[in-house]
Amino acid sequence: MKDDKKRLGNALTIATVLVIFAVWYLVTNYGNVKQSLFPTPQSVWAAFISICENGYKNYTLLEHIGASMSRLLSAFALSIITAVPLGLASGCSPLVRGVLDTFVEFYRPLPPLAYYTLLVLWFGIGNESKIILLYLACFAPIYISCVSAVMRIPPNYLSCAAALGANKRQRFLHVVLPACLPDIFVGTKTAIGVGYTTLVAAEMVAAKTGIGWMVLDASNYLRSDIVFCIIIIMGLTGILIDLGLRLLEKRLVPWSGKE
Amino acid sequence: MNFKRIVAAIVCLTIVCALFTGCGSTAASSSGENTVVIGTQEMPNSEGIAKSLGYFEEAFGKAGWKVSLVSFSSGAKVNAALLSGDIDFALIGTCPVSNGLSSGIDCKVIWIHEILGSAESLAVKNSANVTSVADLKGKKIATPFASTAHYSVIKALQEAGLAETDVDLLDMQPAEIFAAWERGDIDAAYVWEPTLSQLLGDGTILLTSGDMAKAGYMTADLEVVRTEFAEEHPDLVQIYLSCLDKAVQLYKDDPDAAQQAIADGLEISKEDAANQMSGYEWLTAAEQYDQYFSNGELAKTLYSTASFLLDQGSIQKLPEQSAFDAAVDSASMAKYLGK
Repeated sequence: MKDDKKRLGNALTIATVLVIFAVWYLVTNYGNVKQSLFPTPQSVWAAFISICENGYKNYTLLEHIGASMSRLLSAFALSIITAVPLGLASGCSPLVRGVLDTFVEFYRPLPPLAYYTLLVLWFGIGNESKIILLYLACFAPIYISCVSAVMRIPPNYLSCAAALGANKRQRFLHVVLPACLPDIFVGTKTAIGVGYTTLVAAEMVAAKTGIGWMVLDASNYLRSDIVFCIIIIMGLTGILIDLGLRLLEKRLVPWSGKE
Repeated sequence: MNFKRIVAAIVCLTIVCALFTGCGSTAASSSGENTVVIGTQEMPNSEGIAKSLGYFEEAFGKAGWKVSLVSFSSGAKVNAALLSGDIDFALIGTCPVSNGLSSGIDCKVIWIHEILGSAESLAVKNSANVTSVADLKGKKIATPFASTAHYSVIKALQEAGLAETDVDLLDMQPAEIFAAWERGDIDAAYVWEPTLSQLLGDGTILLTSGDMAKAGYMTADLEVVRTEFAEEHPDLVQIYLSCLDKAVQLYKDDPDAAQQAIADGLEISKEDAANQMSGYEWLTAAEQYDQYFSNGELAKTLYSTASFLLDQGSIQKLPEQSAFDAAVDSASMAKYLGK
């Protein structure tokens, strides 16, 4: 019964994609739509082939994707290394929480473009300001999910451990950390998504490589076919990254979702 | 308990309705009903004078039309709005105009604001130790891509025997260029006024667009109008031309007043305004018509600029010269001049 529903769900996904594709093809090929406003699927494919063969503005497609991914993944790694310990510490200690929480809650809703120009002023036009912007975007979701994960640990877990003679360090490593790991993973998945959406903003100033920059540059020249092509590539790579994280989660945190 | 809930629901609904009616009324007043939308950039040229002295509001107002001015940071940004049909008139440089015409934007060129002279130039930082264009090898040069400045800098590099990959060419808008210049992140920049003057506090001009024009690479700031709009309202095109011609006449007859208008509009000093304005070649309607419209010169420039874009891979196909001839609207200018 459950399998049937799952199969139906998969079939519906495929059907929806096909319908969207069909509508796209029909509207652009037979409707009265300007190519630069809404390109045909064939032209998007042709743009893709052309970028694969000739690159875009002196760099190959792989170099552009590589540049963006390296910025995003460095920022992501940095944010995990800092947000997880800080988040867990905040969850455990009201003192730490008092200091950090207000700051994180303040900057989190700020649109990245609002403070990006400040970052460029302080850190220059190189990769540093871009990575810092992405870092700030990724930090908040991970930090917040860590804090809430710690706060949600059933108190009897900790009291049981203490009763059995565990000291503070053992309680942390063997109760707090494993209980929080599922939520940390949720936080990281959110973070990579948020980071990805900030990628275009990060590559708006003085970039020469990167898929975010490619979209902006192509739109300057009204090359909507390239814009579509890159957006599709962004979507697909986003899905791949998410799948990767999900697989990692299954291996490292098999107890997620179960009591 | 029930009563409180009802009150709360009513309050929420009222707030939501108030927000939506607020939206509705602003939407109605700013779109459609007799409002002409002018896409503009902040420059010390004829449009700058017309904006500062309220020529548009006055002239269009007499014909019963309201004016909405929308400001953009460079021509490439204006193109997107023009393509979507959100603006009726637009101030765009020759490069983005050629780009637009080659990419299916249906518009007509009705006016040359000015031929770019020293008001758009290649500035080098004093600390960069650059005395000629060839010295720029390996240096960082910033310019807004897809603009007349971008076109000029690449042509200048080509003339000096350098390829684009021999330098580090960065895509930045004028405001960002100023910030990067101050920080010492870039060595040179090809940009226009008023940003250009801000850079010269710590730099010198290596090359101007006037020099490039002499070398055969003329650039200018043009006014275009959406073809659909122009066909529906040819009288409004005439009104627009009259405002700009009046502005150019003011500069020629009473430069003092014109400079003050620009100084007020761009919030710079009168001396700066005077300096920057002298970096353009100003042409009245009559002069433009004879020199660029009636003899096809402007159309030829647009065609050669488009060829450049094709070489760059920025456009996919190059329209015929005839397409550019058709896009240059000599008829409206002739009508304005009473020919």
